[in-house]
Amino acid sequence: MKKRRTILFLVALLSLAAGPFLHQETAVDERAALRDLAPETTFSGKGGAPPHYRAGQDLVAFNSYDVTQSIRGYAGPIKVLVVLGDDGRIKGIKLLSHRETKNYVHYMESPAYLGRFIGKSVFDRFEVDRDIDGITRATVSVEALAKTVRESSRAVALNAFGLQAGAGQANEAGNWSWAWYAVVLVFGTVGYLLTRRDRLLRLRDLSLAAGIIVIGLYLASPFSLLHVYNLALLRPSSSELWYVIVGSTVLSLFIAGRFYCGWLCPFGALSELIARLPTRKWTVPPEQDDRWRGFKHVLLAVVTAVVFLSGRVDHGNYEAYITLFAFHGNLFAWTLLALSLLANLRVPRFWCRYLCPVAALAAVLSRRDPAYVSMPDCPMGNKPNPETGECIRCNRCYHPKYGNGTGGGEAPSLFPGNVG
Amino acid sequence: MSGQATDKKKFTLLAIAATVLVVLVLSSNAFLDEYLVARGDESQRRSHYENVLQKKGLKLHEGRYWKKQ
Repeated sequence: MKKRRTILFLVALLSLAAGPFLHQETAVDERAALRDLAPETTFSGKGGAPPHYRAGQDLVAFNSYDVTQSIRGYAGPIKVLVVLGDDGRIKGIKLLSHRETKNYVHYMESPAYLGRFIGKSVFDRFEVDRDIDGITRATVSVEALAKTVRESSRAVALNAFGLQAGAGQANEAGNWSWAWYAVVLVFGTVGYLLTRRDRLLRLRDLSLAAGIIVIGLYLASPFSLLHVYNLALLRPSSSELWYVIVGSTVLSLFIAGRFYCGWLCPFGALSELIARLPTRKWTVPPEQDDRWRGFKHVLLAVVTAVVFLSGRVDHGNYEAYITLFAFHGNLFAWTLLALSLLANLRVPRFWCRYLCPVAALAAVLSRRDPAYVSMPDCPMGNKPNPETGECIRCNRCYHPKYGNGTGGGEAPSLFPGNVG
Repeated sequence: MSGQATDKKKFTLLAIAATVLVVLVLSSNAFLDEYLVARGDESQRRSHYENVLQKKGLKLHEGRYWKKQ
């Protein structure tokens, strides 16, 4: 494990250092975007405060990012070109750039969706699900878009046309999606701690169900490696949900290993439920099993190098749960998802064992707890005394006596015939 | 014993298929999307050239600066 940790650390460090030399941020061509938005109109050069282009006395255009740099989506700012009339109404809008995960925001990018902002006034509220249509599974991104358009339009309308908007108006109602995530997290944590003392293993089934329903289907926010990459590339979000997901999961990896995988991950939960169907499971020889389990570490190193060298987080996205819970992906991604789910009928938790990059990261960050000794019906199919990164802390085999090295000697094998 | 051998074979095929799919997904992220965007930009530039610049008697590379000339 120490060797894997060192290799991954070196790959990440070298790629991060070399990345800026291999790719450069290309400046957005605002003029070309303006030409698309208003082909018949001639705009002046960019100037003023906040910076904007002007066409006569009644039309201005601006890049929202020049005005509202602190508003961020799930992966940094969403830059929009807005054309605003002297009546405070939006005449045209075009997305210039963003780094959101494309699976979630493909509809937000479409002219059909952006067209709904046209005709809106700086005096409107721009509240998602009230006067702006929300997009299921892209709530954070859509809220950031609405907020950046509202705030930048109001600032430019005030300075360019003297229109005072927003004063005295209530702010947005607030997004409580982080609270839903926190409830599931607290439930999972309490269940985890209780089942270490008692065999209340049904609590875990409830936590897995909550993971699928709340984190997967409702919030569409399973923890992903893309969160970690955005953090490493200094592209944090301004969403509370993002901080709750990243903060809690990374912390739990250090404290309790793959607790997230065993108690909260909606994809892991779905895989485990499929694996519980009464189908004959394949017998995979231990040496073959070990070899392929190591494959996820290779994938993690490759994807880390690709992302840091290219500076493009979306280039490293192969995570099947993003395809599933975003309900979007290309043909290869959907096929990989179908294969990963169906494989559970023969090899329990196939994705978690062999492909999941979060599992590989967890293995690198967490420390071994000898109290987890494994047993024959281990949901991960682990052998006795498994490696840190292979245990999902389901607590079925937890032996408190052997935790913290106070048990004196090796834990007894729960496998028949003293396997291992 | 032969059942185990068959399982081993099937598992190997499954793991290889998954690996190929992961490689295809990663490749499509890096190349296909970039390629499609580049093709889209190119066709947009060509359309602008044919509809606007060519009518003004300008070459594509001069067209960018035609207002200054």
